[in-house]
Amino acid sequence: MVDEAVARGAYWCDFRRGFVATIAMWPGVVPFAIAYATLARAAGFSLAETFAFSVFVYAGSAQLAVVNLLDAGAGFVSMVLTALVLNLRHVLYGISLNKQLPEETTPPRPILAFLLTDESYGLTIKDGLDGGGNDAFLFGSCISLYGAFISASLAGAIAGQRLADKTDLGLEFVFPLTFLLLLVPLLRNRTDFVVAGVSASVVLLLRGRVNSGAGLLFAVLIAIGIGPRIPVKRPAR
Amino acid sequence: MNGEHVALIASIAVLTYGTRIVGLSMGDRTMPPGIRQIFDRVPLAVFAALAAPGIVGSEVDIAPRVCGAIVALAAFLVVRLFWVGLLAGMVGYAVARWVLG
Repeated sequence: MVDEAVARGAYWCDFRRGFVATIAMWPGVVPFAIAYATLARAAGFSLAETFAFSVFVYAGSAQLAVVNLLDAGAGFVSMVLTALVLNLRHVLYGISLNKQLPEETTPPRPILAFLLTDESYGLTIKDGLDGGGNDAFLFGSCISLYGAFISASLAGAIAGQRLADKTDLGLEFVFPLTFLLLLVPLLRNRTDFVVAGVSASVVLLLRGRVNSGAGLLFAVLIAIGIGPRIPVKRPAR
Repeated sequence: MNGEHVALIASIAVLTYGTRIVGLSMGDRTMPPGIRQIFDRVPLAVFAALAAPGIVGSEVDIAPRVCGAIVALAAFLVVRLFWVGLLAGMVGYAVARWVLG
């Protein structure tokens, strides 16, 4: 009985640590969710659809990409495939987290899986290096971020319609700017620059020739396939 | 609600959940390094393909958009905060549009 109470106390202590540690991520997530919701309204999503997308999918970059493609008139299949391709990294996160999660988690894995994001994964792995990073910490982090994301999505969806009505604000520029700023931290070496350069070049070459969603998927496949094989000249020392 | 939008949200919700549950259900398995590298580079290829057409490939406002992108990059590289980069880029874009007509 006492052991059970101690275990429960330890669980909620780790949950609280995960929740609080993730508050530092809110300034990054809240503007992103507001930008997504504003642009979703401008692309033709209703308030309920914009909010439901965040509540049931909860994958910011994929949501923004799909809204961007919807606005450009892309087909259904290419939008779904783009979201799938963007979310494949979650498979890696899950495999990596298994090494520090107990076999039986609280809540069960199907619930943790629904809430798994880049930020919660990163914080849990980091906490694991300090001897923590268990299921309670991950759950606390996930709840913290999910609450911030869907609240900001709702706020953006409500405010977004007013902004979207003002067509001359140049609001559509938020799309490419957002993806440019998401791209920058991922460029860690020359090969990454080449992959990004090939992807951007192919999508520009295909512009107007194929549907924008198909063009994007084709550009990504080419960049992933041949980008790393292009020799990168290193400066002479 | 629009039927096509609902179908789109439902399909993406199911697939996204699938990518999340598959990894967490795989136990202690590891992934070959080659596959891991491909997975690592997918987001940057997608983000580059989404950013380029709206900046250098734009049919309107190309100079102001490039100016906005440069300002956003500079601000982001200095402060390392997404919202600061986004705000600086939008202000840079608006100013460049006003200056360049």
